[in-house]
Amino acid sequence: MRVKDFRYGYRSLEFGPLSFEVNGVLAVMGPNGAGKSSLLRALVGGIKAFGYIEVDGKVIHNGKKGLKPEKRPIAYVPQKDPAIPFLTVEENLMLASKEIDEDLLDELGIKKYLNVKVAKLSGGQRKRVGIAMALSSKKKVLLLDEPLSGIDPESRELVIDVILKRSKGKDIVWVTHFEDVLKFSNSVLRLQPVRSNLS
Amino acid sequence: MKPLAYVLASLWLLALLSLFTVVKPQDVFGMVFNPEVQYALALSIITSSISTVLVMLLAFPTAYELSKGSKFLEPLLSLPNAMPPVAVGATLLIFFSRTYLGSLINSLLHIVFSIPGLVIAQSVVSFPLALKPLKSAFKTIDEDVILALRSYGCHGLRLLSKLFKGIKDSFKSASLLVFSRSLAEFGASVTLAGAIRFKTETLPIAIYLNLESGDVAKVISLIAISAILAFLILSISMRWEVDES
Repeated sequence: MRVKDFRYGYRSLEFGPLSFEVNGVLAVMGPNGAGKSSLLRALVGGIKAFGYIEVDGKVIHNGKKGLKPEKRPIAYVPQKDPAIPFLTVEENLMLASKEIDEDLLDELGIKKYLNVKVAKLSGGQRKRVGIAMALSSKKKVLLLDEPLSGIDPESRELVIDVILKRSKGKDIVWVTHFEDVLKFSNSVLRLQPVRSNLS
Repeated sequence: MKPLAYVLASLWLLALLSLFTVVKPQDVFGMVFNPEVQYALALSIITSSISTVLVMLLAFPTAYELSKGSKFLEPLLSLPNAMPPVAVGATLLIFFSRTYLGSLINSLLHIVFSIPGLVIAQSVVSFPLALKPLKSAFKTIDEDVILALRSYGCHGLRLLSKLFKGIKDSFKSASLLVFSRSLAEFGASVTLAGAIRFKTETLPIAIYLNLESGDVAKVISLIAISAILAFLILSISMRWEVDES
């Protein structure tokens, strides 16, 4: 994924311009209010953005105009609620893919919760459901907002392993506060409020 | 304050029961089988049911759109609820009888001074009542989840049908609200559809017509039926609230 002169934000707050390329895994880091989550929302087409985004040679956003979120080759896992709470894990997964990959659920440790409503799961389990949905969606780019938040420290590497193993050939942009995640990333985008630098 | 609630409820009950002192109760009950009363009851239930289905079908996706934020559309869409019903009816009457587009629609659907006019008037007036609770219910669903689902390719009607499960309680309450408002609709209906016996004669219009002709027993019978219907609707609504809590 290639992003050029990308500005995004809300009526009163604008971030960027940012230019970066994702080849493998890009970690987005920065203090609160630096626009990390908003960047993911803008990349997936959820908020107003200006600039250029290209995925696999296909332009999905140019200037003010871009494809709708459902048409972009991008899957997004939000930070807070990655799945619909009043539906079961299975019902949520069926929204992302026609088939349920039980091996994937097993690897993420959520297979036994297939018929449980998401509202009854812990924060970490919900996050795993969101990751499973994104990985099942067969999109070329994964945007993961704090994928490890709520997940216990001993399981973090396991979840990262599953994400990396299951998304071979895909680009990943993950927003994280965990410095130890950097070793799994090819590049880091450090955002500062208003200004940003690619290291 | 409970004593105040008891006093107010007693006063209202007294006003209702006092109707039966004006004419003999058996005359009132006898009127229940009167063809005009039965026509008004049947027409009210049928038109209100159609209006409710129509309103809920339109309000559901509209409320979803509005839940994403709109400063101008919502007041405009809610206007019929804040305007005098007779003004809403007059607006519709002039539109369907004096404008090119309205006349064209009227020539196809026969809205003015006929039964479809009742459905239109009831729907327009009750639509805002469904919009607000549904919009509030949609707002409880996190925007980011919806964005995530859209990114997986789930959108449009498929997305809405899934979200329905989460707002079904609000949907049920809104449906009852729309149904009861449609049953009670008078001002807009009488202006657009007219007060024509055995044609556009809903319960409120029948009360109006019989009050004008001085048939008090029939009027009281119609009031009693309206009150019983309203009481039933409120009881169902309360039962749903208890079930939800």
